[in-house]
Amino acid sequence: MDLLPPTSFAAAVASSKNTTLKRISKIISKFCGENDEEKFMASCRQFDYETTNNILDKLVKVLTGNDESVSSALESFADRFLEIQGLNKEVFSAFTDKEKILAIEKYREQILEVIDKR
Amino acid sequence: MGIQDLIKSFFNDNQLAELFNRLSDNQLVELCSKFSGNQLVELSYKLIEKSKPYIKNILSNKKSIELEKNYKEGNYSDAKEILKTAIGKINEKGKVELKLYINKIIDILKKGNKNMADLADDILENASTLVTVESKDSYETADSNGSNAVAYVVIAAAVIVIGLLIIKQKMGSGKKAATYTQEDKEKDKALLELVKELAETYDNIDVYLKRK
Repeated sequence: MDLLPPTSFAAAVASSKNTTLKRISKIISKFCGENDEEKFMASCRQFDYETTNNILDKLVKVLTGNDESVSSALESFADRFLEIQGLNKEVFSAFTDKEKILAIEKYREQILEVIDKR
Repeated sequence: MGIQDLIKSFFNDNQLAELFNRLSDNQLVELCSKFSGNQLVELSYKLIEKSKPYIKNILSNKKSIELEKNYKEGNYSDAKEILKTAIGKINEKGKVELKLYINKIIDILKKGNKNMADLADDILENASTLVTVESKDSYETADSNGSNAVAYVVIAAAVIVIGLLIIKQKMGSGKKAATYTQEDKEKDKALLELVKELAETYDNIDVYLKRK
């Protein structure tokens, strides 16, 4: 499953600040390697959104350790923070990857607090 | 740290940790992978909710309400303390019997029923049939209907579910080691960074589509 459908990503690139893509590319470089970072930036420039999405999907799976779907990877991430009331339930009940992303973002501060305490 | 060690350190009490002794780390991981964290939370809640008539014989009304509240709010450490008090009321013979029930409860959980309310019902129904005439005598406060004995089986099931929750909490998808390393921390923070950027990107998409 693509994290962002190609047409949506095209819209995102068209309206996103270049700094957003650069920040994402830094994370890609650190966890997937420079080769994927270069591919990511090149695919954005060349409007090759299939490659862009594949790299983003790979990144989510590397970060969560879940190599199934992006949806499952996001759920497994939420599963790690069961002490945060509501997070797990919202992410699991979210219908799309977009909703899952927004549900996680909603609990951002609480998740960071838990991470720092561990 | 192995999963059994993790369970021991969480329960900090041999009586509760011993309930898991019959299961290897691999079996526990397998069991965890059958349920999402959300399902385990729901199962815990349903178990406590449905077993109220039995549990009230063991725990005071105040403690029962507290237990339910702790599950609802995700305060598993506090819930554990209440379960510990309840298990502590069983005599030695009862504890031996309880360990035998554990295998039956695990068998029910292994079926991995998708509906948590049905699964809680299965555990409760089986708890009633598991309690034998002899076992009724194993509980210091058992009444003539053996309902206290049933309550202990249900409480043991609740301990197992809370144990599975703790394991899941520590290992995420059930595939990672039961430790939280510096690398895990960095990855979790990086995912949050990515989520932040993507959330902004999704906002941009919405703005872009509205503009069109």
